[in-house]
Amino acid sequence: MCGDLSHPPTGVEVAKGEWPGIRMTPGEGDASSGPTGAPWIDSNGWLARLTHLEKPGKTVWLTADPPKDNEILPLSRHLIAIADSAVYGGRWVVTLDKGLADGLAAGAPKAVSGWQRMGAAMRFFDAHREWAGWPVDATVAVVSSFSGDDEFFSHELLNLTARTNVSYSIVMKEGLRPESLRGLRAIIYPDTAPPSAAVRQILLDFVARGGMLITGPKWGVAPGAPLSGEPYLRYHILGLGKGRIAMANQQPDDPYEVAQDAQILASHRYDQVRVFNSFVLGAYSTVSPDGKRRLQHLINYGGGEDDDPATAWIAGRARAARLWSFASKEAQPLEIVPQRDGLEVHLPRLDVYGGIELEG
Amino acid sequence: MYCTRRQWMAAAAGAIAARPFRLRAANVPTPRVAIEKCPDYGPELLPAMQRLFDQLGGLERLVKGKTVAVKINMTGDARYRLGRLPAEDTHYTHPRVIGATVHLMGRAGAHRVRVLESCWSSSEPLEEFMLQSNWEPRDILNAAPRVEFENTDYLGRAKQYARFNTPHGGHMFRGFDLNHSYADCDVFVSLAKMKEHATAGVTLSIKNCFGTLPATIYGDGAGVDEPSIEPHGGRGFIHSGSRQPSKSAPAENDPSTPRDGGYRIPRVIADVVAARPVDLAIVEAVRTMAGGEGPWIEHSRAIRPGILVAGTNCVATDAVSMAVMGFDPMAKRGTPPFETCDNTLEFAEQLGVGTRDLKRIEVLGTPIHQALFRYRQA
Repeated sequence: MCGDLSHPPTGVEVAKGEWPGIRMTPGEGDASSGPTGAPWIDSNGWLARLTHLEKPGKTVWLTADPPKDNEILPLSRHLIAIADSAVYGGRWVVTLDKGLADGLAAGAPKAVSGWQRMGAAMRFFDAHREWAGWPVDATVAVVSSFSGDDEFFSHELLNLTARTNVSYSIVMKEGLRPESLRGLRAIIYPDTAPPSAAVRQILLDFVARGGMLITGPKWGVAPGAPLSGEPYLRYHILGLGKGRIAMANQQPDDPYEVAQDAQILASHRYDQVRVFNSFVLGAYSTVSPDGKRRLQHLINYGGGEDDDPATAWIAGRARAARLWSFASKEAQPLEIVPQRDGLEVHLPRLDVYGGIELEG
Repeated sequence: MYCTRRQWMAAAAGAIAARPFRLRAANVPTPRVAIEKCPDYGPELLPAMQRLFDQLGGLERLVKGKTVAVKINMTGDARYRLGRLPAEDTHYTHPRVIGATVHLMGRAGAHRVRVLESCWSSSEPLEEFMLQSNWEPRDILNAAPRVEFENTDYLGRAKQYARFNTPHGGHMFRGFDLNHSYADCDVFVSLAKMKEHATAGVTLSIKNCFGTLPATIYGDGAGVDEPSIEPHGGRGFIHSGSRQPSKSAPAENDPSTPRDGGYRIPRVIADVVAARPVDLAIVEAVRTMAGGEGPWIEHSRAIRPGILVAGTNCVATDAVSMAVMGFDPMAKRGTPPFETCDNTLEFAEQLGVGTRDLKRIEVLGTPIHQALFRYRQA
């Protein structure tokens, strides 16, 4: 038991988020939709990652408001919360709903079984604790102060970019170094304060080498020549060196739009993962520190309610693929269907979590 | 003889006034429709499509020196699949068919080929939508000189929408406002997939043109007075009649007509192809699906008819396609495949777009009985 969360143990940072999963429409039992009609997913992955960055060396505990007294959560919501924390290197502060708490107190078999499954999920991630140290395999970075006037917007941008399954890294504007941007295709600079001269130069160098900078007029006057081409509703494109600057026509005030636009501006050509036949699978791409293995985490925020067989397309090549899940202590081999610029694996029904490990 | 869009519009303006509302099929020259067997999308595809077009008199006389707009079919969200199958094997026009069509048009001297589709609920570039489907858009862009893409679900590159008036006032709409791409072309091609359709019975070259309607005006998130900037959602209210398009576009002729998709959709799409005529209709069924227009339709299933159909009249082409599917193009509501809807071809025929009477259509290449692939039995 954790006791008082306002006084966490030494070395622990508590971050308050949302209870992960598909947001339900109150009283109707239907999933709420985002602007595209896709289910609205709550996840704390961005929060765990940002907290790690802001509080290096600390263990991140994630918490959310406990369910209301009369709210009974399906077991899958607890398992999702555990996975949603562990995948991103955090730990979920287990909070029981009334039904589960009463059931456990009474020794009800269903509640006991559920509790055992929660324990098994935690042990699963504990057995693979090295995964928490695998860095994100990113194509995009969000560079911001993540604080002050830019806190809300940048935090929401991280949250909403995660929902697009764009694989992104989080980079602090303060102390930005060129090596933080190595291997990336695009940078989002959402802040309303112009960058310092040093940050500006690093980002423009990134563009000149072939990257894309996505920003707004608060950046200041951007160098480069206007490029014609595909029309973008909210951006115009400037060419600079080998790269491009996507300058918003007006300073963005909607992080959802920025997240949606960024994945198009950066181009789906550089997707790390595409998931077919599931609108509730959240993806997080990581790579082992030695670069020899990749791990594509998938969390089914629908908790198994999406029964269509999903297929995952993953960029790049691999000699072997296997699937980690709560269902088995050992990973199960996955058949690789080679594609032109990547591979596909056909997934079994994922109740809550699947980790696709690629070798070679 | 073929004419440019501008020539057609000038001629049509005079002809419409003189024509009775219900043009008799006898007034229309005998259309020709070609059928070719093509078992797969490999090396056999390009020669099969070449033969298909050659039987119609060749592409050159249709496209040489012209700007050609090709409306493809990529219905629904790019993330939908029927089981494990890629969308192009079931409900999307296959990219190799698009590439082959573009290539042959380039070879026939087309000045420019513009590939068009209204991407689901998005203003993203069509290339991006293709990438999400695991397609490589460069394959199509490089299939001929001067190939362009445009997402037509919104205003796109233009400053205003193009108005198309329906001959004789139309069944449901006297006109439509579309993306400029459908006006800024000399030749308009509907490159469709051969499928059944939950609301319209079948979706072929005519129904494919339903996707020309921009969601900014005809979509569920369309603006009330003016088009929305961004397209949102599908064209649900065109099915249901629950609201009108943006007021900047022509309203429905008679809002007291039935609010039933099976009544409305066949009439609306007949109006669309009457307002924006199709110069070349191509219906692809090398691999496709039966039971519906997309994986979201229950009990739909993948099939491999191995057939290509094309003609210069969309009604005749769809009539032959229906026959290939094992359906009667003269079928009435209540009979397959129009169990719950009216027959689109009948309404297009009434507007003078073409004939659906197989006796009045010259079928070239593979005879219908040899191409027959009964969808309901597949």
